[in-house]
Amino acid sequence: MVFASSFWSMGGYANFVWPSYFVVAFVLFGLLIWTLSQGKSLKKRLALLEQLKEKKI
Amino acid sequence: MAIAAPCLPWLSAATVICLAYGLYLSLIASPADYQQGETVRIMYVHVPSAWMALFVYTAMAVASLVAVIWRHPLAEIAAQASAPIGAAFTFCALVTGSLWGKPMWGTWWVWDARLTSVLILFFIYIAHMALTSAFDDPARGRRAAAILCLVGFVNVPIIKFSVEWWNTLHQPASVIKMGGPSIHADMLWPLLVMALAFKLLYLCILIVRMKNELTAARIRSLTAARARG
Amino acid sequence: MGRKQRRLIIILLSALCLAAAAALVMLAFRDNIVFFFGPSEIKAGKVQPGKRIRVGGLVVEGSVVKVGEKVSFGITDGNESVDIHYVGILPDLFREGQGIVAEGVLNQNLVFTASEVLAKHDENYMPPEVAEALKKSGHWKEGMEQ
Repeated sequence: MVFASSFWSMGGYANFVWPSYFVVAFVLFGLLIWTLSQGKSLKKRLALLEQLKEKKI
Repeated sequence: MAIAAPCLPWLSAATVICLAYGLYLSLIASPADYQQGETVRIMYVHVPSAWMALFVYTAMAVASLVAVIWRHPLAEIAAQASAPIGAAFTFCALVTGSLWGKPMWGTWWVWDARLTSVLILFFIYIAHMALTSAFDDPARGRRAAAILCLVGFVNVPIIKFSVEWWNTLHQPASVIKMGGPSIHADMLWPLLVMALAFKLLYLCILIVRMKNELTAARIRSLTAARARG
Repeated sequence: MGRKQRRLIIILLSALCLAAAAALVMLAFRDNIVFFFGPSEIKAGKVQPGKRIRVGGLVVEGSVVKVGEKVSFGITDGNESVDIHYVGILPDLFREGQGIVAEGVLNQNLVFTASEVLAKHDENYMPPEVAEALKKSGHWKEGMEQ
């Protein structure tokens, strides 16, 4: 457990090192997930529109 | 786009592997710095974010140039899809820089040339995103945003060379400089792996965003066709 | 001349104008966007006493005197040096030989009273053992800690 505690404490700079990694992970993964969910809903709408178009003809 | 889309699964896999290896190197396998101790680990996310902030903007400027001169529709979409990614990287660079500056410099923020010019870059990204969606006609919005992007490109060399042209609190470049990098190989390697991981992540998100934009364009044309009856 | 060439030429011309304008602005600002002054500039009388400014330089070895929260030390750029008085907490990176930037006011005797001291770190990154080895073997470059 010696390794684990020294790893988390980051030589006393834990308050700066960990938030840095957290912010980067949060922002980049947030962007990724937002982009993917946007793609999903767009595809759904497109499929719906194409269905409607076929029914009309 | 026909070439890029099938690459996406491979690119995603490469990103995950690179990111995992990069995080292992930067958090566990790399040594502490002789002066900055463990805070040097912030460098492995700060510097790649800052590089990507400039890289994405440069890619956007090239795409905008192609869009304005040759009216290539994919170039416009590429620029539009890149802007939020670039803004995200710039935001990361600013926040991690602040978190690094507090313990090492003794301040969260100073108005020196480097920090100020990066903040301006962030605002240009935001303005680009706002301008793209400000018009009813998306084509006009993209055209206006392309002009803004090209004008804003003057900021890129200013950011790069700000640490040499002016007295700044921010230190000069370590990796890209005359006479080789002044950073030990044990620290340079994790930095480069993380930089590669960020670049791959950018490509992945870019491809998905461009696909989204193409889907949105199809939706718009179908809706318009329905409205016409 | 085709429309594409015309667009290309217009863009190139405007880019040229923009670059020229930016270069001129930066030349004009060159002396104004100085983040800090060096000791030589202060000794040369480039700075008015009583004005709020920043000074930067290397902390002179052996010059740091601490009495409680009060600190005084000298900074140098290799040619001239300036004495600085400061009350407060120093950043973790503050040490002798290290580059710092201090914000405050210069008095008539060219002594600087700082209200804030920031550490400036260099662009060298290496593990502590490597730094030790470099110092021992005499390959430590002068000014590396600047």
